[in-house]
Amino acid sequence: MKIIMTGQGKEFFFLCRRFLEKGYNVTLICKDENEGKKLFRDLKISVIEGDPCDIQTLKHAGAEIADVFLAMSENDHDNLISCQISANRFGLPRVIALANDPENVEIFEKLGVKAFSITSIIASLIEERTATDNILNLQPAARGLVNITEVKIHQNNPVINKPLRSLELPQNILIGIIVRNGKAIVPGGNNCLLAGDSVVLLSLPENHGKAIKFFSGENK
Amino acid sequence: MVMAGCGKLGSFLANRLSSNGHSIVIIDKNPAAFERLSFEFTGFKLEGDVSLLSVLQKAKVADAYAFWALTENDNLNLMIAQTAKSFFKVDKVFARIHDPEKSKIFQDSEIFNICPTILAGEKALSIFAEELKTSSEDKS
Repeated sequence: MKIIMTGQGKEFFFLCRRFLEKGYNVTLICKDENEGKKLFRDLKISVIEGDPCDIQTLKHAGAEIADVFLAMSENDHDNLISCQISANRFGLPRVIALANDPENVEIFEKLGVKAFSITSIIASLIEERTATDNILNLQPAARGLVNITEVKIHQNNPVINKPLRSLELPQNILIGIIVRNGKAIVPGGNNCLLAGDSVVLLSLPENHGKAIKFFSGENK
Repeated sequence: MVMAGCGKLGSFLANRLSSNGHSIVIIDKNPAAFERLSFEFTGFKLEGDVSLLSVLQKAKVADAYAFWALTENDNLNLMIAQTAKSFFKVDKVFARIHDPEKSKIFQDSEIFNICPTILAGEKALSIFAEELKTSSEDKS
């Protein structure tokens, strides 16, 4: 698959590298001569210097035989127009534009250009991560020095049916209470967690993420 | 109508159209650009970045009967003109495109595109041809 890409910055660089590793034939169009040289040196791929909206530059990059054109510059209008020119002038079957402004995704799609917004992707990832259904409650205590979290233990969680003393808990985490069948248990080292239990965890804020990961079954 | 860009062309058109009785909202990200507007201009000035959809919404592009894309950037003009046409369903949409190549590519779209380079070039050629004719007539 031949892919023509244009853009700048670290994400762009890593994306190029990823595509190269997948064995794609990648050509970069780079406006900035120095950035172009750097990409060429670090990735050892063909870099065309020029404006991705310019017909000659696109031709030079092989737009006539490419399968995909991906525009990831920081200007939405440059991304849209370079995609439209590649599609209309060279008949590229797939053109994809980064919409820096998430509101432009809808407009680009309407104008026949596939679009994505990194902002929207990251926002939904974070929402997904923070709104998992097994975290029931989160409370800071002692003026934010301690987090109290209630986590529901699901059936296929690797922590169940093992004595608490055998769990390799991350540091600075304490299992305060186990809630089982509506009853609160103050656990000892010999207690096991069962599917359907909730645990009330005390953790320091810097270990909070690890604690959640451990008890939501994401550690395995 | 809504006009994006209050540069030399934008302010020229805004002054003329406003004095002809058109109601205009003119947008520019640089408030100093509005100093180009004369006393003839009676419309609204909106400071903002026209590349943002929210700014176009604030200017009520959806209610406009005409939209002019007159920023210095060809690609930006093409983007907002297409947005005005396809998204806001504006009836008459104009875009200034400096680059003759780009102007040709987008000629078939429903947007009226004005290429100052082609217009000036053709005018210059016709003046030149006229001058050659008169000077050869003078000689004969």
